[in-house]
Amino acid sequence: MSEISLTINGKQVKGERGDTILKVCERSDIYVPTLCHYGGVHEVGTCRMCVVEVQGGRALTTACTTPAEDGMIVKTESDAIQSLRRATLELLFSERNHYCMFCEASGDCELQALAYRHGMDSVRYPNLYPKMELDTSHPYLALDQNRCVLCRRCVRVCAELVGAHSLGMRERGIETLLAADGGEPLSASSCVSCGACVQVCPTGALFDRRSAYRGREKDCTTVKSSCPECALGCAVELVARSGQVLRVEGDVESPENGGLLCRRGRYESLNGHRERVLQPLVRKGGELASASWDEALAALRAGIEAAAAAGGAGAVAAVASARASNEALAALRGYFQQKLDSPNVGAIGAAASPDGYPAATLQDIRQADLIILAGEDAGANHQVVEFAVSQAVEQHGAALIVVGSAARRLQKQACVVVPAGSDEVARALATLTAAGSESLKRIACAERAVFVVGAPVTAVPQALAAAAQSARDGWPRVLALAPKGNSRGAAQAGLNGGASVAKGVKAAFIMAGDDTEMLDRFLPQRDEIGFLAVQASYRSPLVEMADVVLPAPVWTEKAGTMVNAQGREVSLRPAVAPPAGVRDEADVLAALSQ
Amino acid sequence: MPAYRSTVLLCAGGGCISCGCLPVREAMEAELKRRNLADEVRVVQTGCVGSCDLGPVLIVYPDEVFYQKVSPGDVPKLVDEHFLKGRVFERLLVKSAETDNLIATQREFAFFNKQVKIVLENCGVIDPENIEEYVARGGYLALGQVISERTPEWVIEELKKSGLRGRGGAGFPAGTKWDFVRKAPGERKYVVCNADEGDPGAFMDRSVLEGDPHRVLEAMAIAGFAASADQGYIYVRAEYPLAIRRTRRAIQQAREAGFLGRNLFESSFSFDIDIRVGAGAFVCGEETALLASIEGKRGIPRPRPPFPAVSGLWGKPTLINNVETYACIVPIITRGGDWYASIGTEKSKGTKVFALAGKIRNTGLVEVPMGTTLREIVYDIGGGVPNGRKFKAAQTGGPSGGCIPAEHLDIPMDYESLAKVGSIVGSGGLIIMDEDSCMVDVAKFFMEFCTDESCGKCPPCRVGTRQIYGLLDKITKGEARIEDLHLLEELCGMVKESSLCGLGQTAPNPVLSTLRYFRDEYLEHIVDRRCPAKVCPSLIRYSIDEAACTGCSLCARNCPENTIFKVEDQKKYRIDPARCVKCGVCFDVCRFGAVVKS
Amino acid sequence: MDTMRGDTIGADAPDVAAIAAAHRGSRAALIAILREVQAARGYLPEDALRAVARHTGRSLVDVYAVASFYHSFSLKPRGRHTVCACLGTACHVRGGQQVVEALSRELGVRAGETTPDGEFTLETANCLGACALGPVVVVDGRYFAKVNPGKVRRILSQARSGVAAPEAADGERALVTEAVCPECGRPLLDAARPIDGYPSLQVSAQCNGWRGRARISCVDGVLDGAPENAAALERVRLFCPHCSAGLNDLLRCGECGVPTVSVLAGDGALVQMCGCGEQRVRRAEVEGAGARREIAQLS
Repeated sequence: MSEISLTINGKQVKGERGDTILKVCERSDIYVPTLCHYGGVHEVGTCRMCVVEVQGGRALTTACTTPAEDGMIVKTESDAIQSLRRATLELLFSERNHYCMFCEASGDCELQALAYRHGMDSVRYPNLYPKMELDTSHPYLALDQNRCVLCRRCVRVCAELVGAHSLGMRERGIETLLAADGGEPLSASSCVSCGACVQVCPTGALFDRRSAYRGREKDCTTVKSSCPECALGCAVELVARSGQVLRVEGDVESPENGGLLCRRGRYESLNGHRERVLQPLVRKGGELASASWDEALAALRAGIEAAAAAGGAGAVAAVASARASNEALAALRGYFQQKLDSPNVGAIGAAASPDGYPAATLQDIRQADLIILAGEDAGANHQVVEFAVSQAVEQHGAALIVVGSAARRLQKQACVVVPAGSDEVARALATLTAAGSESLKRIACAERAVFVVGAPVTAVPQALAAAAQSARDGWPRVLALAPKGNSRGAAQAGLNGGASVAKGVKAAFIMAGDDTEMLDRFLPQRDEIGFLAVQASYRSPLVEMADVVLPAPVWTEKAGTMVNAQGREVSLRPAVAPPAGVRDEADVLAALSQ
Repeated sequence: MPAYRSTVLLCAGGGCISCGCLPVREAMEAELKRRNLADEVRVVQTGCVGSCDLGPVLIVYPDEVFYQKVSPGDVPKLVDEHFLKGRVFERLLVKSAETDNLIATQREFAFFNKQVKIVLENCGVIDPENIEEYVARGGYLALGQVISERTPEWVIEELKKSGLRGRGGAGFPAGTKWDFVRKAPGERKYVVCNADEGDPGAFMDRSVLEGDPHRVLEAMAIAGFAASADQGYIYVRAEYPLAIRRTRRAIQQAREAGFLGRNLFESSFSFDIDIRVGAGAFVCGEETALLASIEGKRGIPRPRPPFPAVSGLWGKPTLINNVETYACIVPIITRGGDWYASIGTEKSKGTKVFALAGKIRNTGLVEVPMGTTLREIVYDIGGGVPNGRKFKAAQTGGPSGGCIPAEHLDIPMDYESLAKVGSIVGSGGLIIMDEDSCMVDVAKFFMEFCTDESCGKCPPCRVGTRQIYGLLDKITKGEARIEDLHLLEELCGMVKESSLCGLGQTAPNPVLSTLRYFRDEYLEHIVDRRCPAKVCPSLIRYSIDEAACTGCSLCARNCPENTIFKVEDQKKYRIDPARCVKCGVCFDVCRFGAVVKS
Repeated sequence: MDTMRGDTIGADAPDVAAIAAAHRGSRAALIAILREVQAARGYLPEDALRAVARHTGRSLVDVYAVASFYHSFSLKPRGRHTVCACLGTACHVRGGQQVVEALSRELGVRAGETTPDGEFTLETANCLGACALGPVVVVDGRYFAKVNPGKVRRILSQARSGVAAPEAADGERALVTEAVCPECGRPLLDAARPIDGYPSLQVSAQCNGWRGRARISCVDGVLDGAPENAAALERVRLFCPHCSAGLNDLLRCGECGVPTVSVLAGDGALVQMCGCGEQRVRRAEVEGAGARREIAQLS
């Protein structure tokens, strides 16, 4: 990278070759208004807000698309520029219904902010305002064409970052409209419901249905946390108001998921209508009844310790969800392993990383020149990985090899597909290095290969690494997908991922937390287990069959750390306080050990 | 091969075909056969002769006798007179506009003899569907010569010497552009021919492709040689099916003859051409939009830089010129850049084809040296304004251009002079308007066109043109106030300055130029609520002159709103002004001149 | 939600598959593929767009975006007849806009729409390049030159009726498919010199000092070839080109009262033609040469 120097507004500033004028301005903290610009996607120069004057140029030019050149003399502000920007805004306001007071985005709207900033206090042209329908078909997001300024941010994000290609422009001229697929309602379209379009929309055209009209950003608190829905641990921002989490947003500052989230992370964890467990429950006379914390803890200790006394440490089991934080797992082990010496302590979803390869980040995937996907369906369970792979293939021309039935959408982009049933995937992976095969050729010439593997694949054959003759230092890399937020942390703590309670266990403690998937697994075993205690956030059939129930906070209410798929420690931070009567899991278990 | 005594050139340009020239050909061939003349007289179907309003047109060689408006029914008589009796068939000759004398030959016809044909030299002379005729006139010689004897540098040097500027609109020096592409780094490069002639009123590119397609193919191959590209694309608009068909056939013939394909003239140079057909979007004439369209995307322009010469088709350096520019290349190569530079003015070299249309006696394509005055074109070549009306303005450059008023009739038609009066050469549309044309209406027409053709990407063009149209509409309806005129001017300036591509940047030109020369007419609409040219429906009224009315009821029966009623006890009709929608049907159908506009 | 819903649903379209295969499923050939599909199907129905997306590897929204961007693609079924009015500059200055408005009024649809009965699709074009002939209207590929709003009804009725001549009863409107001079019996109809694609009647004409050949439309009796303002100057007198018998002094038009032209139609019926657009069949016992006297008796 060579440095260039420009004169902007009479000030000497530095930039790098390849920068646009806008980039140089950003580096030097020079404000240039933008509307269609969005970091990470290609520039289209549509909105004309960032027009600047370049000395010697024929006319005004857009800062976002014009490459900065050494010695350029640029003016970003002048009366003429200012009035052009104001005129552009005036036209935009006259085009569709931008009456702010009824708009969800009012106060957080970039168009509105630009209008204030440029002193656009009235619109002198007739309002064109064609009548447009609202698309509220989608469960999580809504599209109001009336507020759309056609900046195409959503279109570009959907195509370039997400790779879904669900959004586009239809018709032309003044009739241009945002459309999904062939003009279907969003719910009937190929939308993957990742919500990236909503997050980048500068106006109130695409908005989150749950948080709509529930407050502007300045009335809310925003807390950075990490998503526990899978082992990627995507960086999120929790937006909350009055003790309620309004929405989950991707943290754009994260170099990993960069603002992207999957449907589960962004929407599903908030949008369930499950009944919470709000206070401790103890079975009395065959019925579960409310109890105080002391009562419940005493009943728990009595049940567990009675079984241990009768059948030895082997008669006691503790099973956690691998969504639980390191702190909660430590407290669990503190009581059951260290104090009671039980051999039956596990964490469902715990998964260790395969040996012998450096861990690949999402960033690595995006920059890879070869990606090999094997095992688990990344599209279904790890959408954000799928987005990164799409981006690498479509935007940067990476080669893709798919082994097994993983990632249906990605199969279209793959240069080699090795079909295999789920029990054959591991074996099929080994065939990639078969002499003379297309895949071997690809692997041999790849400089930056990434293996993305998931269940049932647990190891990457060393032969693959050996085949990668052209690989750079530190490559190939492996991203091993895992199902739970703290799968890696649980494995590191030595907890195994077994899915059942060992034979002969007479008392079990299940730390489910807000993991709604794991409790049902124990339903068939309920009768074998004499005493059952459950620590859960939500009511469920197993909860109803337990002897002691301890309420647990959900992930947006708690603090703690997790270890993600790449072995990096990520943090959970509470955005809201848990309901009264709900205590942190780690604290509760720590109390037991004393 | 029989030695023909005579050749009949039958114009088969788009205009003549729509007037029915193909049945004329059939009749002619049948008649010649019947009279046993088939071995003596040859019928050749050529491209556009240029005089489109006279079609179907026949020119009989060697005497160059020019017959107009020939119908199949005329053919037996014509063959009888011309080929058997050896005399000119007078009924189908053209009459001189000034003297009323009959004009027998093409040479005597002012419409033709004032023109200098370089681009159109083969149009109307050769059979465009037969490569042999092109080759017989020296075709593909230049390509062979360039490949075997010259270097790319030499070609570009000649081009620079010629002073040729792009004929598509902006007038960028062609030699410089070719040089950019040649010097641009890149393995793969492309040559593109822009035949998306979208300017309403311009049809020279169509005529060249219809009448002399090999000329364009040869030039593109030369361009490929100069820019070291091996693939060319011709992007033709879908509205020109004949041009597409003939160009396709020409490409096929050139491939078979070895003028396109691998290792041309036994050199290492390979070049091939494909056709891409547009689908109805004016904006695709803009080069970056055109490239997007060739790539199979929406035809949406992108900001430049990077210019196509650096990053064009699929990100590769791409040379784009329009048909007329390519049509100049072969003569420049054969006769030299200096020769070409000797034609035209100091800064605008060579010739320019104008598509003369509108309120003018001789309509069609005219090719004149740059710098020919507007007056010469309108009066000497065009034969002046018909029906005794007065010249009011000439519109050049289509929706990107402006109007030239009568006071500038002596302006030389070249890039600089036209720019000085606020218009452009553009692609060469030249629409003549008389007093019956309302300038506000003309501006509104172009703005409606731009609104319709805006791609919708940037707000100044997408919304701006719509709002300008709205203001103009208000003016033509007599609902505007004087402030609206100021708003209009401000908005035009803004759209011009901040639009993304050429379409938006030039869209306000027709408004600005009519405001410059015909401001009074705007003011009349606004202040007096009156349209002096009697065009704007809201500002005129129709009535029936009872003295002239014969009571034939034709108007009443054709009135779509049934607003014309019979005056009681009289054989006269009247229009109910309150319900009249001013469609003008009664005016058109009245055979007695009884319906009057006021 | 199914992740690939956008391009997997839709009936299998073998025609589209064949077209895409001819272009090797190339992404860049999308426009050409869509054009061919439209030519085959008449328009671009949704299942065809889905099939195109599937066969070119592009997303449905991409295909849809392209199809809706270009004006020559139609996403809705089109009428049996396509009426396309040119709105180029040359046509505009000669009144093209009024022609479009008249068409739109007559058909009851706006440009770009199809009449509810599925008969007509009205389109406008931004210059067809036939500037010398403007205003131009193209109906099903046939060019009508120098159109004005007054001609619009005629053009549409021609398109509607096609070329077939109705077997008209007495008093009905008729299309003349055969005509002879009632005096000398020689043919008047000349297929080689059509007006708007239909054979015309060749007559000699005289008006206000002008003498020459004129043609009469066989569809509606409108006179062509005489000086444009002939009718306004003085009545045009028409004669048989063979025997110079006067043709227009026998009967008067029942509608407008001006003298009509009377000719014998193919089946022996007499057709009375008038410049106002009326032409009605008068069935009478008149036949061949010498019929002139009998016609005189009729009047």
